[in-house]
Amino acid sequence: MRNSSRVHIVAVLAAAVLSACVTAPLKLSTDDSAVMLSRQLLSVPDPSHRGTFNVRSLYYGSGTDKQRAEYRDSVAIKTRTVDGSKLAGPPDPEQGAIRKEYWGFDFTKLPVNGRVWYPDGPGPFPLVLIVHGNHNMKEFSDPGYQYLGELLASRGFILASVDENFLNGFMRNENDARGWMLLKHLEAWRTFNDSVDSPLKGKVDMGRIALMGHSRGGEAVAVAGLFNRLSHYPDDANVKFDFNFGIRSLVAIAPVDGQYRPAEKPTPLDNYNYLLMHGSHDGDVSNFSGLTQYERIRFTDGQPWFKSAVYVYRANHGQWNTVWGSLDGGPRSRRALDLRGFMTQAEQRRFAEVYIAAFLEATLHDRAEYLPLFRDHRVAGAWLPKTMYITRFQDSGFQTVANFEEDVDVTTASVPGAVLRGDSLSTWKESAVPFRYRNANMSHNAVTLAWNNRIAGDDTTRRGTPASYALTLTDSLRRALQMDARSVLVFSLAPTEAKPGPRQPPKDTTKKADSAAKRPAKPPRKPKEAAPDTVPMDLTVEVTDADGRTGRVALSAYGPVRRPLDSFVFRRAGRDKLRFATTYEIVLQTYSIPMADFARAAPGLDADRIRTVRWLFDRTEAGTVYLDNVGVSRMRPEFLVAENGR
Amino acid sequence: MTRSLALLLLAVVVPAAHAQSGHYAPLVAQLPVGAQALGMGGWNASSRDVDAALGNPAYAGSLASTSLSLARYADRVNGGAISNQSTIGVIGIAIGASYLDYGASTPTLQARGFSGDVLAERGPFAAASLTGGIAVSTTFKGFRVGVAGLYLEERVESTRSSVAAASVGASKDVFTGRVRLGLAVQNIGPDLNAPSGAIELPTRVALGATGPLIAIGSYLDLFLSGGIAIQRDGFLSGGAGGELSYVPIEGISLAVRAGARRPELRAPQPITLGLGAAYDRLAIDYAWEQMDGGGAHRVSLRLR
Repeated sequence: MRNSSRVHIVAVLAAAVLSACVTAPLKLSTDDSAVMLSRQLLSVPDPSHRGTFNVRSLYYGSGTDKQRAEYRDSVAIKTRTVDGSKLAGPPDPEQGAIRKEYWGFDFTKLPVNGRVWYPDGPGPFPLVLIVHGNHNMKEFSDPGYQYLGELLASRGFILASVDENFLNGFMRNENDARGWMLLKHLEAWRTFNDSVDSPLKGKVDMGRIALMGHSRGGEAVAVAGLFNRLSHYPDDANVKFDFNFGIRSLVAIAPVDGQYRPAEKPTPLDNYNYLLMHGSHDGDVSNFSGLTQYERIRFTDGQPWFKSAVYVYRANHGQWNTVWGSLDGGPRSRRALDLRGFMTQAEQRRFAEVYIAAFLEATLHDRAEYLPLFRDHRVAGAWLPKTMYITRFQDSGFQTVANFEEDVDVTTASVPGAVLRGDSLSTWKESAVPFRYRNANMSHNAVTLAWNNRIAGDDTTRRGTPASYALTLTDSLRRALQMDARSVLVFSLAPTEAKPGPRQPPKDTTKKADSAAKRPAKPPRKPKEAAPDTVPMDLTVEVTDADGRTGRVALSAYGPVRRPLDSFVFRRAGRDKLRFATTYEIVLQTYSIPMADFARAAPGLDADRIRTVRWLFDRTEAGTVYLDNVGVSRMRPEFLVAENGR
Repeated sequence: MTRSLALLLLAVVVPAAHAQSGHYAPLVAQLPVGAQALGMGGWNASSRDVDAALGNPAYAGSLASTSLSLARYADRVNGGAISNQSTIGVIGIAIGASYLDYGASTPTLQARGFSGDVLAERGPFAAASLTGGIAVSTTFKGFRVGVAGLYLEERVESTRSSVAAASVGASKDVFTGRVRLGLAVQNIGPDLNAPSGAIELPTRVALGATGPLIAIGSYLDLFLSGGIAIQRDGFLSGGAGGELSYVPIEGISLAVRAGARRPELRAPQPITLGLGAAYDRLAIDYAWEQMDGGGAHRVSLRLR
């Protein structure tokens, strides 16, 4: 062997050994899906199974597309281009020239292109648009949702995957245009439905529309939802809007948030059903950005809306789209991102199929039997891929009692007549819930509660009264909330890894102070840096009625009570700790506890006259939790049909 | 881009008869500074290396780093360079110096004494060559522009001559930043005064292009670079080359480089080769250049 060959081999081997040395071992949180997903309490058909309709497909578009043969040669319906130049433009003239050369059009002539899967039947069928997010503009993203198109069409929905590849690439501040394009597509669909010579004539139920978007497209659906009900473009009132489509539901898949800020404000959104999903191992949008939009959605018109957010452990950013796949950071992702922990693409797609189909069935087909899934994922253990999930949920019957936003007084709640009290807590404070990205937070507050029931000292068996946190309501507030035995106590909570040290023993006030005999106090021991607390957590939720009777339930019966889920995104050891403040995202799980359950646990309890709700930290010796969005709901009974875990 | 570089290579290297003029000084100002660029055919006006103070000042501050290079030519002919780059607000700053200790063939400074032959065979008279400079750059109307103030010195035995000079440069990233173009006019200044008469500085106009970075699979990158320079007497030099790097994991890379050139001096020959390894912010590069009578070696250490 020649010397030079040897040198090359040795060098490559050295690089391989070195890279092996600095590669982080695969670290995943202990999977509890065998327990959490052990039951199937929904007895309706699996929504990820194909329905009864034969599926047809077609393309609509400009018919002149330079790069997309399907939108040039195969369009069944020709559409007119739209002028998006007021909402988006190239980042610089050079980009503008390159883009125009490549696409053959500029921002004044954006094509309305889509690929459609629709049921072979007379209709009318609900209409669902899905839009991709940012990606290499030359690797076309819109075909990547075919699996959803075929499934949904077979179940009686029309799905159009919208082409917005011309907004991809080196673009910034274009998410308003992405949302606006969806509404321009809906205008085209109105024409398709009304035109005599359209193959889709009369097939579209324009009063039942859902918009779905992925990544930047996930933010775009919120923008579209906002613009749909505005008369003018917020950033240029010379652009008038007249949409008002019958959009009922929005689905955001691993969305970004805040890339577009109408009038420099976070996008407000009212009165839509909203489904949000995000993977813990997202190598592109690595924090659960959509939660900020989730928090901003309000239900104000008395209609039966709901919102649900699901955090999917081991899901990534790209596998929701079959074109994007596992490489969240582009073709060179394998160098930087740890792909080993991902669920398979088939599993991730199955999750999307289950949740999206069920959501659309529930909100566009009025199949209320799917509603419990959005309150508690554990009701569908047989449908879901075996991984861990965290579910946030709120319905329009929910009334906030404490969301920790109103003031800086930790004893006041969000409504008059409610008082908050902590007992034996080592930490009790209200602050913003942090994102895993450094110096970023979810733009909403929660209360942080920490406790350690062990009494400091040599006797390690000595315990104090369990710490607790209580919400007390006046009778008038209870009446105003219409809180009774049919109400559901709802709150969101997440344990953290932090574990405070033992509490100090109570001072013995019976002893006389004797300064002469008093020995100098020992300096307090410097606390050791505690290892992350991994002991499973549970706590008791207790209500007390006006007569002082109490009823108690274990929180774990109403949803997983887990430590944060480790999600190491990068291959290099230590890189996650360098890039992120934590190696996990704090995601609060929502728990819905019917008041009737307390009465069942404590016969004689008057669930119509609950005066106090108390979180009693008696099942775990020490820990820290975030608690937020405490309230009561007159939830639609359908949400509670499948009672889980009890 | 590949085709352009190939044509450039043909235009420059093929007619590389020993037409080099060899009458400019200081000698060190006609030698490459960093091993990374040398491995790909030598410095060109688009080399965004840490040595911007001595190369294209438009790149001053573009890579916040410190670099140390050591070179070994013929027996007892050694050189070295040190440089640093940083930024203050929108201003990029680079400072650097390059030094060559060699043996001259005549005991005094004189024109036509800097052909580069001394790189291949040390002459009997102690000589040294030095260039140092400080460069600043900023962005102006979409271009990165820079200017460098230089100190140039040549010494043979006890005769020493020095002069202040300047270089100016501009650069622009094109094709959405994938290709970098650089233009520099270097070593603008008065002649060096020598007992035998004035010796011209190696003033040149240089144009270069680097990129694009071409991904080959998940772990390999190919990077191309090339450029030409015209000296004040019309002599055309230049070079082109490429780097194939293997990145098994983010932050670690191993690179092989090859280049061809038409050098300004007589002793250097067309072929250059190089190796590089990087671990996060630390990189070590080695280059070998073909020389009359053997080869020369250069090692650079760079800390970003």
